[in-house]
Amino acid sequence: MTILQTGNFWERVEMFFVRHRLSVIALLVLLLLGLPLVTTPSYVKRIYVLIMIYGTLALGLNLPTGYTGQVSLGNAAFFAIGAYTSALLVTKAGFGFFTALPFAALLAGVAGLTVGLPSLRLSGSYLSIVTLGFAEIVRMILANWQTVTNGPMGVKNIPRPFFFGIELSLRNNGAYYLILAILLFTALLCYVVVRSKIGRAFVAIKEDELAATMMGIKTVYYKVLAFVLSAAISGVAGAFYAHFMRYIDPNSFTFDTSILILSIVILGGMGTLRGMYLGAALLVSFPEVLRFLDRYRFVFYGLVLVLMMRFRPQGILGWQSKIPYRFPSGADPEIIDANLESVPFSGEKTPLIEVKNVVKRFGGLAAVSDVSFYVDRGEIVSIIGPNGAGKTTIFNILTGVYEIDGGEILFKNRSIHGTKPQDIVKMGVSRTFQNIRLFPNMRVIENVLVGTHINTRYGFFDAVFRTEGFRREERAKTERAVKILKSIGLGYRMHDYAKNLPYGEQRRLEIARAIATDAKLILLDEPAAGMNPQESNNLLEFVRLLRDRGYTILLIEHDMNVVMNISDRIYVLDYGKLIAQGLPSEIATNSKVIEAYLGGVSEHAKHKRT
Amino acid sequence: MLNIRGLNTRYGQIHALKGIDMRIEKGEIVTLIGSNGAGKSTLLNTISGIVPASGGEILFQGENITNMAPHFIVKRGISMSPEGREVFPALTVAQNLRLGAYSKKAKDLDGSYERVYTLFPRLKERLPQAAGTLSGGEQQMLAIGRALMADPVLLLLDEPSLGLAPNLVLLIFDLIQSINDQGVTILLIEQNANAALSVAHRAYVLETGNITLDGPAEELSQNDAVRRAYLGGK
Amino acid sequence: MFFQYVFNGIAVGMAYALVAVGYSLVFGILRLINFSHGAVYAFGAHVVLLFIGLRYPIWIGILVSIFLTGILGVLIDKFALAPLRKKKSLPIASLITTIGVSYIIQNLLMIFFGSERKSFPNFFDMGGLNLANVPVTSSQLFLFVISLLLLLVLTLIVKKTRIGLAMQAVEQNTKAAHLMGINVNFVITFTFFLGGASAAIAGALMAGYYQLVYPTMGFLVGLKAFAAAILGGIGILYGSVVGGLVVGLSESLASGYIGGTYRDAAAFVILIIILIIKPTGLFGKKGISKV
Repeated sequence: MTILQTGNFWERVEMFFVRHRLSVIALLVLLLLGLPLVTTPSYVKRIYVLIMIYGTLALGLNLPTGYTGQVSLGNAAFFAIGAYTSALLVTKAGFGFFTALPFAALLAGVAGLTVGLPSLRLSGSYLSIVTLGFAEIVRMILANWQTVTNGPMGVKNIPRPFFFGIELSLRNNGAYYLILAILLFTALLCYVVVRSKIGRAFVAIKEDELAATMMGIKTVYYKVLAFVLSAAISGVAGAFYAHFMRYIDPNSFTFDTSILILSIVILGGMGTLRGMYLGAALLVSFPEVLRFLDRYRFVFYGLVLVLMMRFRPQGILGWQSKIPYRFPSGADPEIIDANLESVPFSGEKTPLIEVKNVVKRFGGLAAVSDVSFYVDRGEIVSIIGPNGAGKTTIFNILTGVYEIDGGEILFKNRSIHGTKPQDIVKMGVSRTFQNIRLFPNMRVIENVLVGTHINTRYGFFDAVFRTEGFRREERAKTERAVKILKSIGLGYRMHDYAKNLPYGEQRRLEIARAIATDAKLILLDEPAAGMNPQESNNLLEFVRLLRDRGYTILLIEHDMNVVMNISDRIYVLDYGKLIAQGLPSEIATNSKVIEAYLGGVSEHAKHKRT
Repeated sequence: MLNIRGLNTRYGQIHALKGIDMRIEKGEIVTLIGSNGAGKSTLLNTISGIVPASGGEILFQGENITNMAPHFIVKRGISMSPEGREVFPALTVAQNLRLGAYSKKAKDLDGSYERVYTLFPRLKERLPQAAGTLSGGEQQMLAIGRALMADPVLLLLDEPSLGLAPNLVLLIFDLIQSINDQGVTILLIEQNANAALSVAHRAYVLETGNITLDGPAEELSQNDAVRRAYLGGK
Repeated sequence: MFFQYVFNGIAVGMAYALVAVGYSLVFGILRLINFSHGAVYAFGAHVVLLFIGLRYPIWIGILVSIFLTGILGVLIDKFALAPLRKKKSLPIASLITTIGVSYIIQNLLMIFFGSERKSFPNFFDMGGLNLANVPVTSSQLFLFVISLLLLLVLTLIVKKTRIGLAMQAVEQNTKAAHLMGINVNFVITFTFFLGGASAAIAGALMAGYYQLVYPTMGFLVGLKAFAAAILGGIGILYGSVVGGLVVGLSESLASGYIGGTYRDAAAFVILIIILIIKPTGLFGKKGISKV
């Protein structure tokens, strides 16, 4: 690839790593396996183990915070729940470590679900505070529930894990290999989750939650999923921690712990896996290496947060990869043509969507009053009218962003009143936005793949175990995404990040993403805005092609050239009311329309000036 | 009075203004027409200092005001009535007007209030009312009145007829004329190109960040390309 | 006993309200939860402690602290937050930054003052009062009255002064505020100063009331005050007062009837319940998000 000649040093290093990833990983694992054998001082081995514990915790926190954009300030709570569950089951109920471990994960996961389910509906910062409050409550319970947790005294003499009769200690390197196994398992789990529709949904939510909703992503489900996974992973790390330290008390799991985990995620690079290992290695070994700075250790963590946000918010290893997107095996973008397949369509003119007497009020003002219209299958219908006439409000009503205050909307003869936005997408309505709302830090192809999310049929376990169904679906959806991109003329942009596209191409990418939802009805909100005549002509051609392929289009547009040329029928909206409807030729000569929209005051004003 | 040379503005990767040259003489109404997304509002926002310019310069009465903080630009005599009116919804009409003259002392404002009340008698009736409860037309009057409170030399109007019923549009354009008659220079953005061209002395046509045409308003309203693209003509 | 709990709750609740207003002011203008506010409060109390240690009269210590803590608020904005606004960073970046700042302040206090609890004079204790057999202490009354006065002053500043009008304008529409000729950065600076200054007073009052000062004293109080601000509807001043009273009363009653060790949990339980049932708080309004 050209990157090997043109990229900078780090890009070339990354390219090398990706190309030879299996060998590199094998080598790294071998190194990690051999490391304790060549290390003699036990305090150094101890640091290795702590690094891996915090690496695991960071991988866990990274799912909600790095990928999904939900900052948790309370992951110490799940760490504590895992530690206490395992420690108590083993010391009080006679469990072995490996039988207690699943319970630690389970209980921490359930705790994550309990706090996550209600609070993940909140906006970002509120969630952070709730997690922090939750962690404090957990700590207070641990300190006060004497009969079970032994209160502030903590749990002492926790036995080391036994594996087929062998006590896993630091001395025999058993503890080292156990936490290494836990870390590798966690890393693998995170990797498979992230490289699936689940991971794409996570990032889409972080990038633009509303746009993600409009692509049919059940945002609350995915936020809770990220949160529960994070809690369960922290619980496993906690269980190991309890049996490694052999003593825990409520003060082992304070706000400081939560902040240390967060600092690791941020220093390493939110939303990367590689960053977690480096972050943990740096921040955990730091106080050991620079002992003279001991008193300033926490000040340093604070500085890490502040300075990273200011100068490198993406973290040390958080650069945006310039190497090409990796397609799933079996999917070859080269051989896919640009020929968009047709939507099944009988050619019969029946209404796909009918809007009857719809009313929408904001405060006292009616933004849309008593508006009725319909769009037949295979039609291109435009809504025009001055800015502020209520056109975008109608789109927001049709896609379920706003609830209506009166009237009825029928899609395929079924009422969609009160239907959630995600379910409306599922029924086959998709849209673009007047102010472009792409997922800017995702690649072009990934943006379109997020569009296919709604009809990608595999679950969490398919993704984790890479089942045949998972691989087939990933391949099929990727091929479809490539096809859509090629058909709209963005095939050559697949690997780029959406934010790096010029304006006109961003608009086209939004259309591609809308098509990818398998929508029958596509709502385009000013698709030609900001395009030059050449670009808007190409767009015109493409919208016609979509119609010919059986799609139905509802269009808001100001560019009269586009509207008059492309529309089968036009509705004119003014002041929230329909003032005219008809064929383009009728609209162009309608006196009401000319007065309201095309400029009726001209005669009057001219008169005044002369 | 206002002289813009080679002005460039970028939003991240989007190059919204690509070398704009424009000049406005004292006492003129100049209008800027172009489709949505062409960069009209960006130009006004760059002049008033809300959006930084990435190249070129803006000279106002001989002084370079490029990338000056917005409050200094207001002090020099440029006020703007923004697109979508942007009144302060929870504040009263009186407070909104007071804010329009924020950089002035309260005791020096009698004349400014008088002028606004004369132009917009409706506002005087609504002084204690929260601006958010006004009708669209009244909010537009408030936005313009508020901009006039600073006693500007140059008034920037961004889509003053937006979302207004036809009879109100008429009224607003009459008022623009009256304000200009009082000696205020006006730069007007309008999607209602017919109306804009009928009150303006000169006009510029903006397309995807470039000025493609300019000339006397009368002349442009006869131009075939302009008629086709913006005036709904054939 | 009940009345004792109630009066204690009301007095402490007003002090929470004073801290809560700091969250509310900054949130109103920047839509940011200023996590460092609790640490700023602790800083304010420690400055007073320093001056007491230097044998200055306490009122000098408080005055200096109001000034220095206000300046600290401004510095936090200038050095940590303003650059992020300029870069148009994501909201999460500002939140994390304020967490980092709170950490730095709290731990520097530990380094310079030691992490242990230090005694602080109750400078407003004039003995017990007995008004119609209601057992109010003079400290409670003083805490209540001073907090109330300060809250009134803050409200007057926001509602009746020119800079207060500008604060409201920035809060409602920053872009339009620019166009009015308001120096938005100065308004933000001023807001941070007010937040810091009110936290300093609250810090001194609470230190006196409990006769204790320690570097992490702002952590719990900060969270409780934040809970109070949310409860009343963040960004709404009188909401903070009501929120502060609810938090103060509930924790006072909880510690009286359930047990002192659960006192601190009360605020969090309330916070979580409120956020789940009505995230905009008691008096908050729901905004319409523009698509």
